[in-house]
Amino acid sequence: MRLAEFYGHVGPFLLGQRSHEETVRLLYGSRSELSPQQAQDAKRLEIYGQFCQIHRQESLELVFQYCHQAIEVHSGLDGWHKLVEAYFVCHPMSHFELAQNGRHFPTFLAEQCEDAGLPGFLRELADFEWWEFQTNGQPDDPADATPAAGPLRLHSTVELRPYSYALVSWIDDDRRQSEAPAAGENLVIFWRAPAPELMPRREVATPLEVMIIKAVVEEVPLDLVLAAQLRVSLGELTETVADLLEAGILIGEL
Amino acid sequence: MAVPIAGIGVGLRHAFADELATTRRRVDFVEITPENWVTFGGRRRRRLDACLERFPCIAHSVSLSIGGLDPLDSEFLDAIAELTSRCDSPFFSDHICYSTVNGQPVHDLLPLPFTHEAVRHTARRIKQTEAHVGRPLVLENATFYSHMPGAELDEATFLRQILEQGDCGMLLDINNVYVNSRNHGFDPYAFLDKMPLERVRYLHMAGHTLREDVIIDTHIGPIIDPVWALYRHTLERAGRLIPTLIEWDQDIPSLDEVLDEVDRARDIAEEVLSQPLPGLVGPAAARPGEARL
Repeated sequence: MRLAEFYGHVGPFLLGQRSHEETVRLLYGSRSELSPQQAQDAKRLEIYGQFCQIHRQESLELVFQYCHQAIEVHSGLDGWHKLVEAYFVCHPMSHFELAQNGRHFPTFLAEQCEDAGLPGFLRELADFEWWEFQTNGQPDDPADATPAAGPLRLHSTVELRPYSYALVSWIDDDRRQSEAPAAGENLVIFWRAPAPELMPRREVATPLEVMIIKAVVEEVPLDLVLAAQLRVSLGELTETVADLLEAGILIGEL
Repeated sequence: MAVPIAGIGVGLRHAFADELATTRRRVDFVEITPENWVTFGGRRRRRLDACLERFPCIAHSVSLSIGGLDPLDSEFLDAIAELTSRCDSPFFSDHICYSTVNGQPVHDLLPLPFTHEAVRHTARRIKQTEAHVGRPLVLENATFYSHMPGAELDEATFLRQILEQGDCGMLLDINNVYVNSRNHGFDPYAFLDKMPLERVRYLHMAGHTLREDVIIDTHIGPIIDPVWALYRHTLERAGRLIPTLIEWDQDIPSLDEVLDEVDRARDIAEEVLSQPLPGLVGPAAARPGEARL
């Protein structure tokens, strides 16, 4: 058997798109004609199909822990496994880092929420989990190397994401007392804490925090004029800026 | 000149990376799986940096797919080149296997058919890989649970021919030899005696797991005595300390327990190499640093 033919037979099996039985027939021949050695090889071939399936599951479960739990509650473990397989049919693996292969899952899940009758909050939960993963692993930016120096600026990992469910409080409730997060518009800020911690953080941003971040991006002075525009005291503005600096969301000199 | 790899090392794992960077116990080198580290910044990057600053390093990848039909992943090779350049490693390693099909990584190490065509194909890609990365490639004998159809060679001959045609160094995984010998019913000592020890740049030692009627290469330790016996045999035959790497990938215990395996490998190597050595094969103490315990 030529290599091209071999790969043509075994490839779909490893990708979960051809049965073990059919692959055995293509690779080794009819079961009734297999030698004892071939019968053992045929049986053990199934191990590789299982391993590849496990890796597909792992690639999503590494990142989408809460989506996984919620879908398992809604559709059972089998439902989760079917969803994983369907995802990789639409978005085949392409990256050598396992978890990166889940980057299209939020988009995929958004479509599935309608088509498969899944709870609507899952599309936002997947986006949330993906951003948390990204924040954790995002490559270091030289601009963050001297956080106490230079102009006031955002840490390179800062990302504001709009959600219509209270995901932060729902995830942080270890007992997960409700099956779904409460509805409610909010902006979540993701960032990576400064060294030595360097862990991903996320919090619901207050309106004042959002306005300060906007002002920093637009290089608007954080002064009495801005405080007046935002209808807060200068003290409140200054205190909030200090909090953002301490958290590492803002870096640089005031 | 590249930083030489010598002595007994350990595979870097997230579970104990922080502790390893500051351990007072002896570790001579570390092996890094680039897929798990190179794309990340933040805490993971700091952990990697701390270990690279302290230890000589080998990049040991799992995604090369040297025997696959898909084009080599140039982004991945670039990442290996950057890492090996940063560590100034004398070589980098992967496995004699394939890990992509239909252009898609499957994130497993899959057995090739033992055919002449697979030998020629793999040897060609060794050259391509080395040209891209700019360092020698060293290839590991992998485990296999099934023989792929159409075999024209036995495993030992298949491995030897790839290494010879590709003019490539070998990473000899002693546990894999044991696992394959148990799963397929052959003599592991006879198999080891067929391995080209003059090409072996380092050894792997690890644990495994019995699942029903097949042993799975899980890298769950501790290493069992029959595998240590094969290690002893390999060093006796080589007549030199081949650098040795301890792997422990799942159900990872405390770092101390992992480093106990490192110490055990060192104890065995010291014991073996202080005795008269029968049947020297290859260059005893040929490479700088390799004979030093």
